[in-house]
Amino acid sequence: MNSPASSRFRTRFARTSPSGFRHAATESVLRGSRRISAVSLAVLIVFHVAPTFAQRDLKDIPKPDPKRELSELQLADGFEISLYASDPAIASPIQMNFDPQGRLWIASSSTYPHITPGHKADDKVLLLEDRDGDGVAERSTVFSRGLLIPTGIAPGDGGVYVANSTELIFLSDTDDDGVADRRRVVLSGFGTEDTHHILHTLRWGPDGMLYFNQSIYIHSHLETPWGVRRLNGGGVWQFRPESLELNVFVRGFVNPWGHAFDRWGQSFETDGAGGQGINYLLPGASYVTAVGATRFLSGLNPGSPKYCGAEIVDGRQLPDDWQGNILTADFRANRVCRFVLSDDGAGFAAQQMPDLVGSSNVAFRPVDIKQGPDGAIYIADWYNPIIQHGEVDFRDPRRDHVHGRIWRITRTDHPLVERPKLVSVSTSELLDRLKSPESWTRQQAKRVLRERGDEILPALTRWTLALDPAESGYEHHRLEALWTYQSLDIVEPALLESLLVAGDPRVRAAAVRVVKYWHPRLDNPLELLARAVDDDHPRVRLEAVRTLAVIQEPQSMEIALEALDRPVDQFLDYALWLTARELKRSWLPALEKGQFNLALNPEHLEFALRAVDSPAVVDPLLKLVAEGRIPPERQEAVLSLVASLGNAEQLASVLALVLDKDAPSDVQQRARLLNALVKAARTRGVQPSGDRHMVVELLSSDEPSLTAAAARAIGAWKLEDSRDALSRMALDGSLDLSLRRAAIDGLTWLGGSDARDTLVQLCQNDQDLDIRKLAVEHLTTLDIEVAARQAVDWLADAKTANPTNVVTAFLQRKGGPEALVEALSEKTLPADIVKLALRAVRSTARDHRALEEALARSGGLGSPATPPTAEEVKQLVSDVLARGDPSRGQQVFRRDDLACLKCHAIAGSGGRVGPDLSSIGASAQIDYLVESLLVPGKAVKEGYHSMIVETDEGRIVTGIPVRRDDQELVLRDAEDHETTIPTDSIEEESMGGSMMPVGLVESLTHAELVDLIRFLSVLGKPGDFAVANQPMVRTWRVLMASKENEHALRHGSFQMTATASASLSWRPAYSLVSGELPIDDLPRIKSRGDVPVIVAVQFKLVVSTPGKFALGFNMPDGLSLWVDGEPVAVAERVVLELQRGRHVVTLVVDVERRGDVALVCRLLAIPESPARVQRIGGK
Amino acid sequence: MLQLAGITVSLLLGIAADPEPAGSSVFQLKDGDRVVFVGNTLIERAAQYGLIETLLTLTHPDAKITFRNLGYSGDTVWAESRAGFDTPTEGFARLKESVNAARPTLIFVGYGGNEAFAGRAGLPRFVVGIQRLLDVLSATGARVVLLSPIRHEDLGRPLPDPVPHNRNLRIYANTMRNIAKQRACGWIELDPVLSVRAIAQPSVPLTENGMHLNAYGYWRAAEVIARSDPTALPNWRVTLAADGRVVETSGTQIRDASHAGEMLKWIALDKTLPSLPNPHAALLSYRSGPPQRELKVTGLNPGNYRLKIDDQVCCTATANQWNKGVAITAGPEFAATEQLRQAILQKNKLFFYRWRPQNTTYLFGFRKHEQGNNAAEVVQFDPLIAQSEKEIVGLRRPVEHRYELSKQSEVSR
Repeated sequence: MNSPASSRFRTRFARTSPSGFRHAATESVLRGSRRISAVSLAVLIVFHVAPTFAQRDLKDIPKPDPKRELSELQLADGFEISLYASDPAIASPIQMNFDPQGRLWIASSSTYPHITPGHKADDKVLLLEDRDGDGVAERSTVFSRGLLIPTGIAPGDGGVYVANSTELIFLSDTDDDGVADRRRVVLSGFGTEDTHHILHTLRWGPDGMLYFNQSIYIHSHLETPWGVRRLNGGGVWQFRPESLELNVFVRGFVNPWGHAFDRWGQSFETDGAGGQGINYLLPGASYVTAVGATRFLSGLNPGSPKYCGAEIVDGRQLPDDWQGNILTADFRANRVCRFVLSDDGAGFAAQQMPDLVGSSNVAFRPVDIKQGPDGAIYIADWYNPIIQHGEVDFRDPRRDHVHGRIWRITRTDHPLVERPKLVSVSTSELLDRLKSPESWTRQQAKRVLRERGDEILPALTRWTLALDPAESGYEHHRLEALWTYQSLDIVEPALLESLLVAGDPRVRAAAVRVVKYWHPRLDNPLELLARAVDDDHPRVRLEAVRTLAVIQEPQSMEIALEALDRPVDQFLDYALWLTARELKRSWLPALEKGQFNLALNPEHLEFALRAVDSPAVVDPLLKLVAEGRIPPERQEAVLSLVASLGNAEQLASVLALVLDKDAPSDVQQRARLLNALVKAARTRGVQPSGDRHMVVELLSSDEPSLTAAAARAIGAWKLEDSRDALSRMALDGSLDLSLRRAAIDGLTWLGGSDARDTLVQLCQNDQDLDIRKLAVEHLTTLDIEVAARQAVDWLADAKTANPTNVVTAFLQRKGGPEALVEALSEKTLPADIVKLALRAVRSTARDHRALEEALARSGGLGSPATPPTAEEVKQLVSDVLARGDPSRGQQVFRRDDLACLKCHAIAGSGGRVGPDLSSIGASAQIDYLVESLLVPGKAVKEGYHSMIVETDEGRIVTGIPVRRDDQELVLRDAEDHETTIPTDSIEEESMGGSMMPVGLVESLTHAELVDLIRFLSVLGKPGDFAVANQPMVRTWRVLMASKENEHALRHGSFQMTATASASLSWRPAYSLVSGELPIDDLPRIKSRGDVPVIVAVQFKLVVSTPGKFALGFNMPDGLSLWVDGEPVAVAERVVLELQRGRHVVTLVVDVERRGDVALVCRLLAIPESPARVQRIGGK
Repeated sequence: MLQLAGITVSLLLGIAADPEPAGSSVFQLKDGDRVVFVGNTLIERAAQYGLIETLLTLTHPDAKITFRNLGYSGDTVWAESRAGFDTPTEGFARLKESVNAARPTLIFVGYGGNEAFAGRAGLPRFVVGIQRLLDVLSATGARVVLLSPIRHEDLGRPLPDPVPHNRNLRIYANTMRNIAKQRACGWIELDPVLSVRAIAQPSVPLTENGMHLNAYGYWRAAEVIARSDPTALPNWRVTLAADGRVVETSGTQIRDASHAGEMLKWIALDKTLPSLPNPHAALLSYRSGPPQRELKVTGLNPGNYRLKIDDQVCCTATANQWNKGVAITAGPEFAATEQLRQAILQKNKLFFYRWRPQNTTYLFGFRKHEQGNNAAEVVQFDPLIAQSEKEIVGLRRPVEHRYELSKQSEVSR
C-alpha cells in the first residue's frame, strides 16, 4: 500500500466508514526538492509565456481546498489524519480547548492583525460538537461574536473565559439557547502593543487555577481586590477566578504560546519567537527577555526553531513510548514536532523525536494542539500563507482571514478511547475518573468536581480513604485527590503530609508545591519544608526551596540553604538563588541586627550573601574572609563581589589582599581582584580608601597580568605621580602588547595633554600597526579631531588589518563621525579597507550618511545603493523562482566576506546578533527575504531591535539589549560583543533599527544574490534544507593553517591539537544545514613532509546529568579522536561516559585517507541511560 | 485607628440616612462642553456601560456636550498604566498629552482606589502625585471635579475582607476631599452609592468583585453624579382630568388633549428623555425616592384603563390607581434612551480604537518603520467618531409621542 520512499512519512486520506473506523487509502506521496524544482519550472514557463499574469503566480499561495491540504500532510508511521472541522464553519482558529462534555471551543479572529476603520470587530467564539463520535464535528455554533481579536479560550465555571484584547472576559449562556447572553469583564488592563503578543494561551492547571500568558511587548496593569498587579514584558500569569488572586508564575520569553502540564503538575512552555525549544517552568523563574532580571533559566533545546502550542499527550490511544511526550508546532516550517521529556536532576531534558506531521503547504499553520476526549490529537490549523504582522503589512492581500481547519490524528488500526461521560454522572463515578490513564479525563473530571463545589467533600473524603494502597497508581490517585481539595481551596493537612512522604518523588514534589498555597493555614509549614529540603530527589528539594520563598521569615532562608548539603545542579542552584533574593527583606535585616544564624555553615551564608546584590552583604563576607572561613577556591569570587558592591573602606580591604605578597591567593588571582577594583572605580566611581600608591610597586611584578592591572589602577585612581611610568611603558617597544595596552588604558584615563601627546607619538608610522590602532582608538576619548587625522593615516597604512574597532571608536563618540568626515576630505584610502569600514558604519542602526559618502569617496567607491523599487523586487523574486539554486546559495551564505554566520545561526549554530534562520524559508515569503537583504531596516524581528545609548561621558553605544536591571544595561553589538553600561551613566536612550549592515549583499553578482535568496527561501521547508530533528554537532572550531600552528605541530604530535589547544589559533566553522561539515573547505595543515596532511576540528559538549551516551560518525575512516585531551578509539559509534560540565572533543582528519567525505557527528542517546548531554552551539 | 474607624462609621451612617443628597452646585454642564473622564478602571469600564454619559447627555438635550473617556485600567495619579515601553515620567506626559488633545472644558477625575493599597505610609506620596495631576488638569482651563474612590464592597470569602482597604480608602477619600476644597475643585462623594446597599433588602451587589461597579453600581453612580448638577433632570409629572383638561405638567409639554367616550388622547413632547430604569428595580424592596415619571388621571369612571404610547401598550391600572398616580417605567421614551446609550457605546468603542489602538509598537513605537504607514488608518476613526456624535445629537432630543388611555372592556380583558 505504501511506496518504499514513504516509510517514515506518508499521507493518508482518511475516510470515515459507518462503523466509525478509518480506512487509510489511496496514494502516498513523498515531497522534497524534486517537487520544488518542478514548481520552479512551471513558474518559469508561466513567466515567459504570460508575463502579465506573472505576479499572481509569484505569490506562494496554494488553493485553499481542504482536500488538497490533506493530500500534502505527511504523517508519522502508524498514524492517520482526517478533517474534524473546516471553513466556512470556522475561520482563523487561534486557541482551542475542550470542555468536560467533549465539545471543542475555539477562539477565532478574522480581524487579526488590526481592526480596519469602518469595519465592525466581529470575531467569534465557536463551539464545535461531534455528537455521534465519528471524528467529524457536524455541529458548529457561534457562541459569541463582536469580539476584538480573541486569542485565548478556556471553558469552565459554567461558561467560557476568553482573552479579548485588553480584557479577560467571562461569557455565559443563562437561558440555554446555546448562545452567550451574559458578558462579564474578569480582568482588564492587558496591554495590546502587539496583537500577536496580547493575552493568550489560557490553560487550567491541575490545581484548579487558570494560567495565561502575555508576550514581550505587552505591559499589563490589572486591578484586583488584592491590589494592582503589573507585568511589563512576557510571562505566565496564575489566577484563581473565585478569589481573583493573581500572580506572575514565571516571567520572560519572547512570545510563549504553549503551556502544558505533565501528569505530576510540572509545566512546560514553548516560545513562538524563542529559540530554546521546550522550557521547563521553574516557579518564579526568569527566562530570556524578562525585564529587570539578572539571571535567566534557559530552555532545554537551545538552537531550536520557534514553537507554538504545547500538549503533553498520554493514554491508551497512543504507543507506550509516546506517554508523557510533549507535542508542539513548528508553525513556520508547517510541522508538528514531538519531544520526549525526562528527568535531568532537579529539572528536565527534552529529546526531539521524528515529527508527527509535516507539510509542504505553506498555508498549513498548526498553532494549537490538544488531545481530545477520544485520545485523538487535534490540531488547530490557522491556515494562512502569511504569518507575522510586523514584517508583513497589516493589509497584505495575501493574508487569509476566512479559512481555518481542525485536523484530527488517530493511530491506525488502534481503538479510540471511549469518550467519558463526566457531566451527567454521580460524584462517586466522577471521582473514579481521577484514576483514568488519560490526562484529559482526569483533568476534566477535576473541573466538574470543582464546579460542583463543596457538596462533593464528603464523597471526596470517602473516596480518598477507600483507595487501596496495593492498587497501582495509588499515590497518583491520592495526588489527584489533593489537587481536588486544592481546587476547592479546602485544606487537608493529613492527606498533604502523607503525600509529602510518598514513595514517588514526583508526588512528593507536587505535594510540596501545594504547601506554597496552604502554608498560612498549616500548623507546621516550615517543619514540612525542612524535611523536603533534605529529600533524596533533587526536584523535591527544588520545590521546597521555591516554596520557602513565600514564607517571609529569616528561618525560611536558613532552611532553604540546607539544600546546599546535597548535590546542587543548575536548576537547584537557580532556585536557591531566586529564593535568597526573594527572602532578602527578611533575612538581610536579621543579619544586620545579628539575628540571622551566623553560625551557619559558611558555605550557606556565602551563597545567600552572593545571591543578593546588596551592599549589606559586604561586611559579613569580609568577616568570613577575615576569619578564614572561605575556602581558597571560592575566595576570588567572594572578593570580586566585595569589589563590585563595596564602599571605599571595604574596597581597601580587598586592596590590602592584592598588595599582600604573602596572601594565600595566587598572583593571577590578585591581578583579577585588582581588575575588579579598577572596574569599581571606572563604573561606580568608588576607590579604596587610604593610601593607594602602593599599587605602583606592582608595575614591576613578574606576573604580566598583575603589572597590567596595576597600570590600569594608576589611571583609574588618577595617580598623577606615576604618569611618566605609564608613558614609558606605553612607548616601550620591547614590551608585550598586552602590557602596552594596559599602559595606554591607564594613561588615557589619566587624561590631559601629556597623555594625548604620548598617544599621538604612538600613532606615528614608525610604530607597529597594532599599537597605532590602539592609540587611535584611545585618542578618540581625548581629542576627537586629532584622533580623526591619525585614524585616516592609519587607515591608509592598515593593509589587511580590520578597521572595525577604529571606526567604531569614532561612532561611539559625540562628534566622532563629523571629525572623521573632516579628516577624510581629499584623502585616498584603499578600497578594501573602506569596504570594511563602511560595513562597521552600517551596522550601527544609525544614520551616518555623510560619513558613508566620505568613506566611499576616499575609497573610490560608488555612492551607496538606493533601495530597490517595487519593480526590481518583483523582478528579483521571479529570477529567484526561475533560476535560484539553493545549494549554490548555501555556499554564498557561508562565504567569509558576507559573514552571514557571524550574526545569524542555523539550528543554533552561528552568531546571535540576528535571528536564527532555521525555518526562515517556511515562514517568510520571497519578497520579504529580498527586502530584508536589500533594505535590512525595513522589518526587524522582535528582540532584535537595537538600542542607542548615550552616556554621561559622551559615549554612544549601539546594540541589541541583552538584559537590564537597576544597575546596568548590557548591549550586544554587531561583533557579538557585550558592553555593560551602568544605568546611572545613561543620559539618553532610543530604539534603533536593524544591526544588519545596509549594502551587505552589494558585492554579490546578480546570480549569487538570486542563489542566496533561493537558499533562504527553502531553508526549513521539507526537503534537503530542513534542519533535522536529531541532535548533531553544528558549531565547530577549526585549526587555522598558520605558520605558528604548523610550527607547533611540527615539534609535537597531532595530539597537541587536543592537549595544547589553547596555545594554537582556531577559527569558527559551521556545519551545512544537513549537518555535514565539508572537509574540503577547511584549512589543511601540512606540518612536516613525512606526516599526512590534516584538518583538525573541535567541538564542545555540556553534560548536565552524567551517564553513558554515544557519538555517531558518518564514517570513522581517517579520524582520530580525543575527549578532553585523552585519546579515544574511533568507531561509527563511540560510547562515552563523562562528568557533569563542559567537555572538549577534538578530531584530526587525515585528508588523504578520508578523501573529501564530509564529517557528521551525531549525539546518540543510549536507552535506559540517565545521561543528559547537549552540544554547545553559538559562535 | 479605632478613632478613625469610628469616624468612618458615623460618616457612612450619616449618608445612609440621606442616600440621595440634594443637588449642590458641584458642576454645571453647559452648551459646548467637552467632558473628559480620566482615572483608573472605575472610569475605563464606565465607557462600556455608558450609564453616566447617557444620563449626563439626556439631561441637557439642547446643549452640545461631548465626552471622552480616558480611563485606564490599573492607573494611578502617577499614570503608571500609561507608561507602556517608557518610564512612568513619560506615562504621565502621555496622560497630559491625551487630556490636552481632548480639549476639555470639564474633567472628572477618578483615582485613589489603587493608591490606597499603600495605606497611610503611601499618603504623602499620593498627595504630591494628585496635586501634580491636578496642576496639569487645571492648566487646561477646564473645571475639574474629583470623584471619590468607591468603597470596597464585601462580597464574602474567598474574596478578600475589605475592611483594611476600606479604612485606607476613607483616609485617601478624606484627603482628596480636602484637596478638592483647597483647590476649589468639585468633589463628588460616591460612597453613598455603596452605603445604600446596606439598607437594601435583599442586598444587591453594586460591584462585580468588590471593587469594580456592575451595571447597578454604575446606574447608581450615574444618579449621584447627575444630581450633583443642579440643572439636571426635571421630574416628569402629568395630571389630566378625564375630560381632557390638563391639570398639571412638569417635564413635558402636552397638546391636543381630547377625550371621546372612555378614551383620553394627547400628544406629549418631553423636555428630556427619561433616565434608564434601575436594572435591579425588581430586586429592591426599598423605594429609591419618588418615581421619575408619574401620570395622574382624575375623574375616570371605575374600571381598568390601559395606557398606550405610540400604539405600544405601556401599562394598565384601575381608575383608582390612575387617580393616585401611576409610575411610567417603560415605553418608546425608554427605548429611545436605550438607543441613545447604544449610540454612546458605539462612539466609545470607536474612540477606544482611536486613542488606545492596538499594535502601537508598529504604528507609533520603535517598529514604526515597518508598519507606520498604517498609522494613517488610526486617524480614520475621527470622522467615524464625529458621525457617531452627530447621531447622538439626534437621539438625545425627545420627540413627540401619542398617548392614549382607554378603558378596557370586559371582553378585551
